[in-house]
Amino acid sequence: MSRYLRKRAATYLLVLAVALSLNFLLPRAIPGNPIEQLSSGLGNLPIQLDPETLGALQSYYGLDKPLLEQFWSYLTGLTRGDLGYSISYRAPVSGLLLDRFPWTLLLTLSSLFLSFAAALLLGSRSARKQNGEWKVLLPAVLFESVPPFVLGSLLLILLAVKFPLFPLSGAYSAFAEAAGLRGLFDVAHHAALPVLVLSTSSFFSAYLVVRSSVLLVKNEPYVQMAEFKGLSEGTIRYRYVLRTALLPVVTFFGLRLAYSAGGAILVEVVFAYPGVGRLIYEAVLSHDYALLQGTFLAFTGWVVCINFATDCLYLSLDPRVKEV
Amino acid sequence: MHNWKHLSTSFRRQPAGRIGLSGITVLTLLAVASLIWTPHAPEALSGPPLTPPSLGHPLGTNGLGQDIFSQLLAGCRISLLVAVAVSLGSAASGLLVGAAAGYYPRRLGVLLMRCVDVLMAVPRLPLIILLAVFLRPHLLNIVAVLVFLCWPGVARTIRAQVLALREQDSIRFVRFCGGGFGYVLRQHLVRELFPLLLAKTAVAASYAIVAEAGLSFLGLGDPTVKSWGMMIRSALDYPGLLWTSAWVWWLLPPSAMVSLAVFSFTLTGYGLDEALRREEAE
Amino acid sequence: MMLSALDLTLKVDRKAVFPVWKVDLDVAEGERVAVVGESGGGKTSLACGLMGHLVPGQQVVSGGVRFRGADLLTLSPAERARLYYRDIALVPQNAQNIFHPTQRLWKSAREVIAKGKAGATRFADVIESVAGLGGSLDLCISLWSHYPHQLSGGQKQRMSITLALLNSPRLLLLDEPSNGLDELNRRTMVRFLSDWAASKGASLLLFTHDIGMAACWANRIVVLYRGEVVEELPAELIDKPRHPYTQGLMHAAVRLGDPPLSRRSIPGHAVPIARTPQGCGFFERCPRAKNYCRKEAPRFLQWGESKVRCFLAGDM
Repeated sequence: MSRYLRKRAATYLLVLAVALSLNFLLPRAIPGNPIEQLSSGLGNLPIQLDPETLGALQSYYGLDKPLLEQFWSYLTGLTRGDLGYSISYRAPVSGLLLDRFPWTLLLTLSSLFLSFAAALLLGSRSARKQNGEWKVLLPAVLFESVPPFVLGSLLLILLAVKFPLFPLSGAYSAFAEAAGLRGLFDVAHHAALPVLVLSTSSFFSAYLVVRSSVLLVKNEPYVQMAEFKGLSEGTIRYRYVLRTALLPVVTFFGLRLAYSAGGAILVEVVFAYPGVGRLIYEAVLSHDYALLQGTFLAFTGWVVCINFATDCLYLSLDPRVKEV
Repeated sequence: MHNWKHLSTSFRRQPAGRIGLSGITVLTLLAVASLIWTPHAPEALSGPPLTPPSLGHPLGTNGLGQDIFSQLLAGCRISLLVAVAVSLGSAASGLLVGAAAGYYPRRLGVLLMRCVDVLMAVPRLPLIILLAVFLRPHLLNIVAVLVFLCWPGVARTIRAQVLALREQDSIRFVRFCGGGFGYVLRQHLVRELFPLLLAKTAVAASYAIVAEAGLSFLGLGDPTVKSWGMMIRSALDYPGLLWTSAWVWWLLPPSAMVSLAVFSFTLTGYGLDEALRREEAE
Repeated sequence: MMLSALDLTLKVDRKAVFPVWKVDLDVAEGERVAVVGESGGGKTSLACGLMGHLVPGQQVVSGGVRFRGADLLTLSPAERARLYYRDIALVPQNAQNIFHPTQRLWKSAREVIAKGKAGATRFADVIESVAGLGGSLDLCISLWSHYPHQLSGGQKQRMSITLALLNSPRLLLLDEPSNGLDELNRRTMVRFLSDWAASKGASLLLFTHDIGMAACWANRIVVLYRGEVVEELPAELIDKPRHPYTQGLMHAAVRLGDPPLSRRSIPGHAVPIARTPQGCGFFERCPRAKNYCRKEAPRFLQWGESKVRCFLAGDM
C-alpha cells in the first residue's frame, strides 16, 4: 500500500478511536452512572430501583469496575459485533442497525446519483457557455438554503396532505402483499419525496464543483494541444476535458456520500422513514444510550469506510497522486 | 496585499454579494428593532389560539395563543446571535490554529493538521446529537458545540493561505528582522487573511443557523429560547396542524425566515469568494 | 506554394491591440523559413493564425491563409481538424503540459496515428511506428509506457516533435523548438529535422528568437517586429541586414569567438501594435530614426535580394 494510503488509513483509525472514546466516555462523564440515570425518572424503567438492585445491576454491567477495564470489555465486545442492547426496542443494537441500514442507503445513494447526474449535465453545459450561470445558480442556492427538514415538511404538506400524491410516511406500505415489480414501485413511491429533498440540498455544491472543474480544465494546455492535433470534438470533450475534470468531482462525490448518511437524519425524521437516522432520533427521545452510541458508531464507521474507499479510487484514477 | 477598495467594489458589483449583504442587513435591522419593540411580548398569551392573521396579530397566533409575528422577530435575535457567536468563535480559533499550523509547518503544523483531519472526518450531525444529548440543552452549549464543529474547516483554509504567505518577500523580511509569530500574525497576517476569513465565516454562520434550527427541530435545542427552529418544531408537534390551514401562518413564516437567513449568508460567502478569486486572477 | 498568407491581421477581443499586422508570408515546397523576433513580438500568435486555429481571445480582422490551395480561415473547424497533424502540424513552445495527464504516452501517440490510418491499433503497432522517429531523437522505447509527469521537459519536447512527424506532414511549424533543450540536443534536433524535411520534401516554418539558429538552419529569414514583417532575406545575407531592428538582433546575438562584453542589446521591449500606427513601428527604439520616420509608415520594398520596411534601408 502506498505511503499516501497508509497515512490516510492512520488518520481514519484515529477517527474511529476518537469516536469510540467519545462513545465510551460521554455517558460516563455525567455525574452518576447510566443505571442511576435510567432509574431516576428520566428513563423508561417503570420502577424506582432500590440500592441493592442498583448495586447488583451495576456489577452485572461491570459498572463498578475501573474505567480502563470497562473500556477494554467494551472494545472486546465490539470486535465480537456486540454493540449493546437497546432498551427501547428490547433487541440487540447490531440487529437493529442491520435492519435499518439498507433503507438509509437507498435514500442516500438515490439522492446522490440524482443530484450528481443533474450537476454533471448542467455544470458541464454551463462551463461551455462560460456565463449565464445565474439561471441555474439562483434557484439552486435558494433550494439549498431551505433546511432539509423544512423543505421536507413543506413537500409533505403539499404533496402528501393537500394533494395526496405521495404517502405520508414509511418506506413501504405496511400490510401490503406486493412483491416484485409492484413492490419495487411501492418502495420507490415512498422514497420519492425524501430523495427529492436530499437531492436539492446537495445539488448546488455539486454543480459548482463540476462547473469550476470543467472551466479550469478547459484552459489547460493539453486541451488546447488536443485541438491543435485535430482530434475529434467528441474525443476532446470526453477523454480530455471530462475525464480530467471529473477527478475532483469523484472526491467530492465520495465526501458527500460519506456525510450524507448523517444529513439524512432530519429527512428521515420528517418522513418517518425507517432508516438509521430515524433510529438515532428515537434513541435520543427514549434516552436509549446503547442505541445512541451504536448508531453514532455506525455513522462514523460509514464515513471512515467511504472516505478510505474514495482515497483508493482516486489513487487508481489519477497516476499523478502516486508520487505524493 | 489587498486593494481594499477594489475588493469591496468587486464584491458589491456582483449580484451574489449585493443580495446577500442586503439580506443580512434586513435581518440585522429586524433583530435590532425587536430589541426595542415588538407588537406583543413573544411569550405572552395575547390572543385565542390559532387565529388567522389580523390587524392586532399580523401573522396570527400559534397553538398556545402567542403572537407569531413577535416570536418571529425575537427568533431573529436568537438566530443572528447564534450566527455571530459561532462565526466569531470559529473564526478566532480557526485563525489561531490555522496560522500556527501554517507558520510552523514542520512539527506543530503536522500535529495540528492531523487533529483537524480527524475532527473533520467525524460525521457532523450525529456528533452534534451525541453531544447535545449529554450536555445540558443550554444555548451556550449549543454555540460551543457548533464552534467546535466549524473551526477545523476554517483552520484548514487559513493554514493553506498562511503557508503561501509565509514565503512572500514582505513576510520573510519581517521574520528576518526578528518578528515572532504573534507579531507577524497581528500586524501582517490578519490583514491579509481577513477577506478569506470573512468568506469562510459567512459559510460557518449559515451552517450555524441551519444546525441550530435542526437541533431545535429534533428537540435538542434550548427550550427556554424561542428560536425559529423551536417555532417550526412546535408547529409540527401540534396534532393535526397539517390538515388545518393554520400551517400557512404558523409553519411557513419561520421556515421562510430560516431559509432567508441561510440564503443571505451563503450568497455573501459566495460573493466574497468570487471577489477574492477575481482579485487573484488579475 | 505550400503556405501563403496574405495581409493577415489579428486582433485581441475587445481591445485595440493587433498581435499580427498585415503579414504576408509565403512558404514554398521544400523550403525552410525562419520567423525571427523577440518574445512578445507576435510569433506564437502568428503561428496559431497561420494554422487557422487562433490563440483564444483573438480574432481575424482581415487577410487569408492558403494551405495547398485551401483557404484555412474559411474552412469549417472539422475540416481544419482533419488537416492537423496529418498535412500540417504545429509543435508548441512549451511541452510541459501538452499531453493528457492521466493517459500513457503511447496512447497519445495512438490518437495521432489514428488520424493517418483508420482502425484500432495495438500497443505493438504504436511502438513500431514511433520507434524510428523516437530513436533518432534519442527517446528510448520504454518512455512511451510512462505518464507525462514522469518525463523531463526536454524529453517531452522531443516527444511532441515525434508526434508531429508521425503522419509525415507536408508542412511543419515549430514554435521555439530549442526551448528547454541544451546546446547538444539542440544541434541534434536541428540536424535531424533538416534531414527529415529533405528526405520527405516537406517544408519547415520555424519561429524563434535565436537569430543564430535561424541563420544556420533556414533558407530564408523573415524578421517580425511587433507583429509586422520588417525584413525578409535569404539566410546567407544575414550578416548584411538592412533594417535597424535586424541589425540590432545581429549585434545582440552571441557567437563563439566574439570578444568578451562586445554584445549590445536593443533598449526597450516590443509591445503589440496598439493602434493603427502613424509612423514606423520601430521608431521608439531605432538608433537611426529620423523625424519623418514618425510621420509616415515605410513600405515593404525590394532591396537587392531582400525586402525591407525602412526608409534608411539604402544607406548601410
